[in-house]
Amino acid sequence: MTFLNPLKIGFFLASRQIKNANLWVNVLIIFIMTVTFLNLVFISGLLEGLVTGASKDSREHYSGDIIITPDEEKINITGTLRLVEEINNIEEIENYSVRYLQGAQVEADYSPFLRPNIERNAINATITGVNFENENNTTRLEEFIVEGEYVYESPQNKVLVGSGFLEEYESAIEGSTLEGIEVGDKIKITALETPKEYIVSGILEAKLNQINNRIFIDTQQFISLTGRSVQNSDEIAITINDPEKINSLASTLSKIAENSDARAESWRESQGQFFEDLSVTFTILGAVIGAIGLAVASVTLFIVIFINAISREKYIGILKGIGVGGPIIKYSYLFQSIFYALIGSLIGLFLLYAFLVPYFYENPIDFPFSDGILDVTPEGVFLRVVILFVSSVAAGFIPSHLIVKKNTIDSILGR
Amino acid sequence: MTNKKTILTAKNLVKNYVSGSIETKVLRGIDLEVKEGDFISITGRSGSGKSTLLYVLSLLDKPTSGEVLFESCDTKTFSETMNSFCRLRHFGFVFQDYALLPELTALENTIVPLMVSQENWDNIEKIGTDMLTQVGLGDKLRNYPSQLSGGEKQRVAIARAISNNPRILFADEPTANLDSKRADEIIDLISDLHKKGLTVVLVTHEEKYLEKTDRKIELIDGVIKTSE
Repeated sequence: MTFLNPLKIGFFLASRQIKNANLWVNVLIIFIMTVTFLNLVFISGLLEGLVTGASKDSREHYSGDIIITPDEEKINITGTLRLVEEINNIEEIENYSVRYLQGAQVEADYSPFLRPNIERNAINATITGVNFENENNTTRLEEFIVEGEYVYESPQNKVLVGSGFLEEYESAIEGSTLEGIEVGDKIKITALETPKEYIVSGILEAKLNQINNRIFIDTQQFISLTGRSVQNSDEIAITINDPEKINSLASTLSKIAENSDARAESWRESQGQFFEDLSVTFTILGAVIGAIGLAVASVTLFIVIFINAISREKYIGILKGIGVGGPIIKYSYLFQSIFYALIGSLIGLFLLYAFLVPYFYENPIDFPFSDGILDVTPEGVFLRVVILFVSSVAAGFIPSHLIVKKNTIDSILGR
Repeated sequence: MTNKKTILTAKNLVKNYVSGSIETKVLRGIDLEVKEGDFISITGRSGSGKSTLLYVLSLLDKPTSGEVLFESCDTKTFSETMNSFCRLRHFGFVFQDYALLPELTALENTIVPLMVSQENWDNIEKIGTDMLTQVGLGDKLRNYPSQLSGGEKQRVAIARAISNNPRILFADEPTANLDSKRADEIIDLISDLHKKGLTVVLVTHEEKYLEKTDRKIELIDGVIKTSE
């Protein structure tokens, strides 16, 4: 007998058993395998997707591909105009937005005629001076307008208010909100001694604190309000046209920024350890939930194959009785397990890539801190297919091994 | 008288079954020789141990004590793989209830032992077809066991048992589930195979079939009472 013959006979017996098995038993086992596969991929993919979604949002709508910030222990980016000139000379840079940040007091309903003897409707907030056109080109800030309109022409005395300061929004910062602010209302911002009055042009709501918890005004207005020099900025977000060059450009810009007391970081570096830790945590969580699902499915498959093997104990005995060796009988059960795992995985892959991934891409789950997409990679999916195969093979092998090692005549006679 | 070669020898075979604290002695010291070309019948009442003797002789079960020698080799030293090999290549077994695999056709049931024993599978379908034709089922090769009558199932079982051209055919009450006409046909078939040179050990409780055999063994309570 050649080396392959036992495998071929095992395959032959398995194929006949599957072909003649009860249709609904086959459907049930394949359904279990499909659900297990999806559970393995879906839960971990969704958890990963939460982090990926948050990270993607931060990159696309806050940091850009590269962000320049003051060095540690430095207050501002100095020599901003010279730095911007250098940035303008780098052809790979697509867009950039210079931001100026400062804490200020913001007050609404400040007319003594409107609110006599009532507690002031005021908060402390971060005022962000931007060139609205540059900011929108870099981070697509306009997408987050939920009321009113974006500020298209600068300089104007118009502001965009983050929803974190408005109590009617879910993202409102507890104890730090203005009451009853609507588009078109006037607010008073005090950074130095002299307050200035602005009109609320729009309300911004995103899943990023850097948008929700800021009030955006035109750079010229910011300078006029705070008295800050145009040379002293706080953030420069940059997008580039070749993602492959992010790290090399970040390094180049870092060298340029050294003279401005600043440093340049890629979007990944700027997100720091937090996102990596979160990603690892969610990966572990996904693995644990997936492992539980896998264990349940393995036990289910084990029970199904065990019941199948027990109900066929007589026939296993007959096979042994006519001289078919134990390994061949075990192979037949292994092939059955592999068949169920293969069909379950194939159906799972089809459902995943034909329906689930496109669906969640179009309709991300609305989580508080990000839009949950289904983050699945080919390597991750392949790994899970392998895990499912290995556990299925084990679930098929153990029961067949237990039955095969029984006394032959006891199996035949059902003793 | 020709000197026939001994294929199988049983020496002082004892087989006990233990269930809880109760021990049942089924075989109590059986001595027996099966020689080439024998057609041996084993008879006895229900519970006399005839089927157990057949299982032990055919290496389907192990004796509690005593020896079964296959061509002078003590089968106690055989591994399960070796036992399996003996059952495959040297013994054929016909069970009372046919013991066919329900998901395989008559032809597939017949060729399973050939698939295991033959390295080259080119001819096994032809051999299986010939076997089934020999037992009168040449027109029911693709029928499943559920599509065959009791007599036809037993014919498939016989075809399977002889497919590897065994040294001994063991038949455990092969007519028990058949009407008398079908039973006669099966015994005639086995008798024909014996006439072609096959050694047969037949367990039966039907007296009328004993005349076809050339050695008769009667078991009473696990002991050979008569051997002629």
